[in-house]
Amino acid sequence: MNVMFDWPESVAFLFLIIGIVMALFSGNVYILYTVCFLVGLVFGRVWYRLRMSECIPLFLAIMAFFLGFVLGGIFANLRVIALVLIAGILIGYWLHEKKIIRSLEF
Amino acid sequence: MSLRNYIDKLKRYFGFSREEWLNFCIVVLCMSIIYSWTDWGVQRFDPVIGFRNLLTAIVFVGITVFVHHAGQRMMALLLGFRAEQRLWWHGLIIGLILVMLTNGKIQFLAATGMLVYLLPAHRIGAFRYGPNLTTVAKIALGGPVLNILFSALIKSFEWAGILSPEIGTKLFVLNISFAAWNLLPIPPLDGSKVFFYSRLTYAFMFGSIASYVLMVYFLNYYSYIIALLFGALTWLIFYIFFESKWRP
Repeated sequence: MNVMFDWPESVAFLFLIIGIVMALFSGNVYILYTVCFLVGLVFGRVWYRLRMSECIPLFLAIMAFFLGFVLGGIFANLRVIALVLIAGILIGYWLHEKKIIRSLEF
Repeated sequence: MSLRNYIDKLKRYFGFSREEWLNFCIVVLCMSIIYSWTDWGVQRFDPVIGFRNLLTAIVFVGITVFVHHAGQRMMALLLGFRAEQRLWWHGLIIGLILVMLTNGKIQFLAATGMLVYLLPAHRIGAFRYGPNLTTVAKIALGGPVLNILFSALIKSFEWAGILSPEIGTKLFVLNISFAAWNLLPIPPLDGSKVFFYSRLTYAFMFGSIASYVLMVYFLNYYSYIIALLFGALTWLIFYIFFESKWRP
């Protein structure tokens, strides 16, 4: 595998593992949904920042994370996980687009 | 620089802007939730005890974060710059996720980054006029170092009987953990600024502060001198095994 060329897949695989680990470590469904929402917020922020450049790798990472989260959180409701993650992403993006949260470089 | 000049600079530039106050409040609130995660009841969830502990945590975390920011601002003004603290959203969310997933075992208390602005009139005649890695590292270190000194002051007050042991211990532990977390070499935390300035200085600082924290946590032993010796040992080990073999 050429890492320089296939880095989006590598990053996506990493997010798959992170998703599984996070879902396995959350003890109950409420923590699972909250963590999923928070990760969605982070994805929303990253999506806003990379909206002009690297949307495809980010989309791959989000889908891989979702898959990992579903696999790890098999005890939870799949639809709720999907809804919470999408809500997190959309709210995160909207907060940045409306300049409620400013996206600043350090 | 005279003391009068420094006091004047403090009066003019030390204050927080509206956005900085807003960020400060968000950081304090979220970090208080992280800090008081395990204090929401003894046997089972109790909202009354939880809210009381959360309010206490807000006060403690507020003091700690303010001391950290004040340390950086005072150091920046001493060097002729103005420091501005900004919220690191990723750190805040990572902290919340970590505390939830580990049920309060990992309390990641680092969610601010610092920016440095030049105060042209106050740098006139200074060697290397503009901001550089050295000055930024010095300013960044001002926060964690003041946290450590403040924790020592708190402990002294506790030993002198001025503060109750419960308050003293909590504030002490919070301040040193806050300093240690902020020294991680992750941008935009303070540790990253020191790391980019000099790896050896970073090894020394991190070795000193980490050994101090570990001595306090596990041995209940308080000594700056031994912590500095451990820092020097870390510096030496890092130099022998990494730095001396590094070639550009």
